[in-house]
Amino acid sequence: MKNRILQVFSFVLIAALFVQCEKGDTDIVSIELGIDTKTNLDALQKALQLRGNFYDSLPLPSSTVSPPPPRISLGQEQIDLRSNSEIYIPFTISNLNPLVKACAFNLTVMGASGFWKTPVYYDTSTNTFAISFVVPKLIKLGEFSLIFNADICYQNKVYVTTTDTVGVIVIPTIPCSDSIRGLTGLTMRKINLGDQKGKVKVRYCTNVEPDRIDLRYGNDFIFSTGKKLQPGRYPTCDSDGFISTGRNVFQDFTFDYDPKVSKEFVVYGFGSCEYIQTDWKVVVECPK
Amino acid sequence: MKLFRNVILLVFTLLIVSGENNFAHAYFGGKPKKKKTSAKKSTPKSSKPKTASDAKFLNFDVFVGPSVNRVSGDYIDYQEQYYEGGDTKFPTNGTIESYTWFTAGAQVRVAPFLESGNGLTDLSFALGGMYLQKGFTHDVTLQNIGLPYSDKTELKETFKAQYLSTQVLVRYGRALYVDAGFNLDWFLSGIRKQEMTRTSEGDSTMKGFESGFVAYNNRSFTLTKDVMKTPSLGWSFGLGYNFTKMFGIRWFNTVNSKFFKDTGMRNFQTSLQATVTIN
Repeated sequence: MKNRILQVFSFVLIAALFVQCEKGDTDIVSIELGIDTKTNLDALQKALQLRGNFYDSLPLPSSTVSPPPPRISLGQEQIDLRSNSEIYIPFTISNLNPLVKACAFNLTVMGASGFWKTPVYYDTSTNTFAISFVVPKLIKLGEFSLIFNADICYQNKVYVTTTDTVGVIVIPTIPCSDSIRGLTGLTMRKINLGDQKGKVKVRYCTNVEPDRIDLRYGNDFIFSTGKKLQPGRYPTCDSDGFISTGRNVFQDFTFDYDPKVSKEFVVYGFGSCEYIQTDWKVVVECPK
Repeated sequence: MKLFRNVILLVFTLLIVSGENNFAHAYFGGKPKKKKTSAKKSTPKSSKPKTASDAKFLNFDVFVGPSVNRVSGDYIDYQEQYYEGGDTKFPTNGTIESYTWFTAGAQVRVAPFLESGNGLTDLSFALGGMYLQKGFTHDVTLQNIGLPYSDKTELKETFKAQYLSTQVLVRYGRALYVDAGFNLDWFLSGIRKQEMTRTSEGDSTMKGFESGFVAYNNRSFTLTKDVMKTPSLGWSFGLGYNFTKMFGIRWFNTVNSKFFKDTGMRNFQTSLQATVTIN
């Protein structure tokens, strides 16, 4: 009886050890919960929040060979953003016949399988195309690259533009009183102003080369160095309001913050499209 | 290869358990044991442990039973806060769930004061080992409600790690007893599984775009000693009752302060074990 008990017990123990010795696809790199930007690119790609369709296991459409495809370009090599913040990518397509239109934007994460097809937003006033999407909280801090091109529709035929790449850096949440810096192109940063009601002072410096700064509180733009934008709009290279404050010279703007009204406060910094050495800085003080 | 290894292991173990060890002896040499055919009358081996004489100086306990592992600490608090509420356009719901498995182990227990005749009679000291699994499941659901159709992203992450826990316990009592001590848990192996499902359904309302898709992503990562704390020091305490001098039941708990090497995460493991004492 005793031996039988010991034998059964040994069997249970040994079987458990062997059956459970599972190995993963790769060794763990980060213990943080969520999708890692280095080791799980397929999940990262599928978790991107954008309107459109995802085509699993299909490659990004290739550029049309003949006729020579229109050239797509972003005007910025890198985008910094915080989780749950919207990426806005304005882009231009050169050599585009006025009779044709960009009918879809194709996008994939470099190294991942499948691709997204998403609608293109066209701003007739500035003649600029754009797409936007959100990197959700599920995706952890880190870097990845996006490869993209656009479908051009003409006489019931679809042509594909050239392909371009942009780097994306997911950065930590920015608390108030931290400073934000940006270079050429559009940078959007959501600031956590907390639960205290009060006056918030925003200080900005565009240095020598002209840049544009916009502030959005809730759905409305409350400040701009140029003409205030309508809700849902974004500054572009063709917008007005690119100003030079002078080297290390700060100007400021103050507004009333009430967390009961809205907690969403976003800084839009648009670095000069003409001067690639441009840089700007914004400091958002905590409510007082 | 892994399946083959497990099948071989299973066959050998079953042969040993069933007592048909001729097969094993044919492989490893030696004479197979003959089955005892004596007609010795069986006597009842189990009786209630009413007297101190039921206990022996040297005892061998084995135990097995289901376990639940609950996690807490800074690491978990941060994760729960991180997913709390979410954005107005992207409501997020994240939960951390306990991990249920089983535990099994054995210990050698010494009762040095059996003959003392005082309060120390029921005191014994145990040194043992226990196989256990710790872990947790993290479930997050994110909805994009800014779209004219339903769009949901679900991520399920499971961490599970196997340990050999070595324990030193002090036990007091006879039929009803308590035991307490400390344990060192040695990490053996572990895995992190990520399962993601993205479901977009309904009319996408976009001309030229197909409506709806479901995309899956399953990936697993091996937990290594680079990230896992090993050995991990913890405390053990339990309460048990022996129905007979051989069989009993024990509610046993361990608390360890480290799971990952560099973060504060506590494991509380509770198990209900069937115990067998052989002496």
